[in-house]
Amino acid sequence: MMPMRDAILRNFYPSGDFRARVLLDLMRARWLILWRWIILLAAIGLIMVDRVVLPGANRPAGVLVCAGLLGLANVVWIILHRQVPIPVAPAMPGPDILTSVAILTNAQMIVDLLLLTVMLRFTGGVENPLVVFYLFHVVLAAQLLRSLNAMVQGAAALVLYSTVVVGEWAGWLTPHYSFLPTVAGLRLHEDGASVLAAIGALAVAISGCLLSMMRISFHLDAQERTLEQTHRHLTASYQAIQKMQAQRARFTWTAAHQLKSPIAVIQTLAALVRDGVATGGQIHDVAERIIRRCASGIEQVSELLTLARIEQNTPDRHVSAQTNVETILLKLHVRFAEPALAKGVTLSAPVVERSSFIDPCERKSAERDAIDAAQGELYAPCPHPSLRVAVDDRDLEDCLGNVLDNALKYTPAGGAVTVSIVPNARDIDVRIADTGIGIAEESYAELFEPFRRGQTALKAGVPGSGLGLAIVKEVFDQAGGRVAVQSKVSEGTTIVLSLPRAKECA
Amino acid sequence: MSAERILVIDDDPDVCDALKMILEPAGYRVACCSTGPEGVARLHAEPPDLLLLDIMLSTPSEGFHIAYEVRQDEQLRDMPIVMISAIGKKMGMDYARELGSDYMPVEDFLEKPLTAEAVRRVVRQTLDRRGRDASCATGSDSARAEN
Repeated sequence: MMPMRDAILRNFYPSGDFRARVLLDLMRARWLILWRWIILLAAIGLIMVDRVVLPGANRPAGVLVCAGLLGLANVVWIILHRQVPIPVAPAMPGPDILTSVAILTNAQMIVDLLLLTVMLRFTGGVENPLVVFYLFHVVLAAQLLRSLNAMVQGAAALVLYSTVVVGEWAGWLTPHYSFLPTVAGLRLHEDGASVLAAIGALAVAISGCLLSMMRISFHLDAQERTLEQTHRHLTASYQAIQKMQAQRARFTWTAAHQLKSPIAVIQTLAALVRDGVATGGQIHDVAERIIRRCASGIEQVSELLTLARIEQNTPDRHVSAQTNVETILLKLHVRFAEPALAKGVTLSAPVVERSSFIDPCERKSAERDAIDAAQGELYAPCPHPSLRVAVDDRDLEDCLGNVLDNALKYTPAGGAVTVSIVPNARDIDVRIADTGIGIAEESYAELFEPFRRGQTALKAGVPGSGLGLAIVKEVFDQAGGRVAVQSKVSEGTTIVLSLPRAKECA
Repeated sequence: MSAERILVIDDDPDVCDALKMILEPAGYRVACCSTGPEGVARLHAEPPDLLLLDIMLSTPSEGFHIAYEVRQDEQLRDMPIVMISAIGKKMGMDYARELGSDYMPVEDFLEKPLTAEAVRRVVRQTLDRRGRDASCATGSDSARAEN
């Protein structure tokens, strides 16, 4: 039974509720207690005025007892308030404190209702215009309490008032105390129609107040939730921007270092010649190194510019792209064939692996081939029109070129690099496999980070900017592609680039 | 007297070769490692008299992590370390401070581009300082033993 009881209690005020915040602020300021003191002083003042204005009026002792009970109750509330540790604003307390606050407020309002009803009983019942205090009470309940609690308070007000006026009319509650004892013949409490009208009027007023005030509260709650959600989003955005700025600063720092490195090495090598440290045959070797480092510095700057270009462009350019992946790979094959031959690495031409999937574009293309053959046109091997992907052609050439370049760089003489295209239902996979030095598993996570180079690559002493795969990652993040790496040290690496198909086929 | 041994951990083969060209004619035995793990393994296998350590290896701070690891090692903790990097001494120290004060226990800092004169001077001074510290420690031990 306890969990259900806890769940019900916790439901009084879920954290973040606008009404809970308002109520907590009022509790912090002891607002209800303060108002009760003011009402008590006003009641005492009215009793004294009553004695002066209406010296003959014989008010019952219940009026003073009621005022005394209000003061006593207020002292009890002050003591109970101190038992509830409400944190300083704007901190929100936990559900237990919120539940205590809600129970304490409900209890105070019910006791206030009882005392108001007793006061009405001793000061005229149905004749007393102070019945409007019930409405003040209900408005407050609708603003501060949850809907069900507010409705209970409204119903309690109506039941208590009805008990007094019906009791006096029916003769259960006697004697009747006039509101104005000096004015004779009013005797509304004996008139059933007046009693019914008073109860009906109060019922309508309470319902109207509850419905309108609850609607306002709901609206304010919704606004508060929207504001809180917006605040959360803004905070998250601000944190993301801060993180991005920190990453950008780190990147600039690293980039500056990486650009300074080749220049520093060139200066170091030149100083070896100038200072006579390098002599004889070493001078030619040092000069060769200087030329090579100049070339690698230029390559690094070019890759940085490529990365900057890709980051600067909007990802939208990929959505409408219709890049034929086979065309790009054939172009790259021509570019890398000579360096591969010079290094003694076999670079195979891209091969399209047929899968069981046949897409509509492919069927259309096959039909066109059949028509061409029927018309007796010369058929030359050309890129398959169905192999179109939604990646910008220049970016795709940079990415595939970087992966192929890496495959060739890290494959020793006698090795092989193979390229294949595997069309799938949603993507087109490009597999670039080499029989090179491989990548250590611990380097996988940082492989695509700018300026990070794997341990095996460093050990092999192969120069590189550490930007090639960072460019691939940036492009694939933008275009919605995926990159998978399979590798074994000393056996080779296969990189599978899954490219999203172009939206419409030509 | 055998030649003093220097281990260079730097991922740039040109820097390693340049340091060999500078230091070997001056009478030092120089060995090079291009990765952190390879360098650490070598440190344990053949502890050198001096470690020349690049900061940015496979990660931008790997050099500092290696220096920290060396200082935590019972066998290697007294080995002098000279950092070499293109980021400069001040920035290097700022960077090390970001990682934590434990990452700064290096004897000196050599900024790239390197010159033969600066490399030889810093290496000599560091080794001499190390030698003096070692003899002081031995002297005080002997004095303590005599007492």
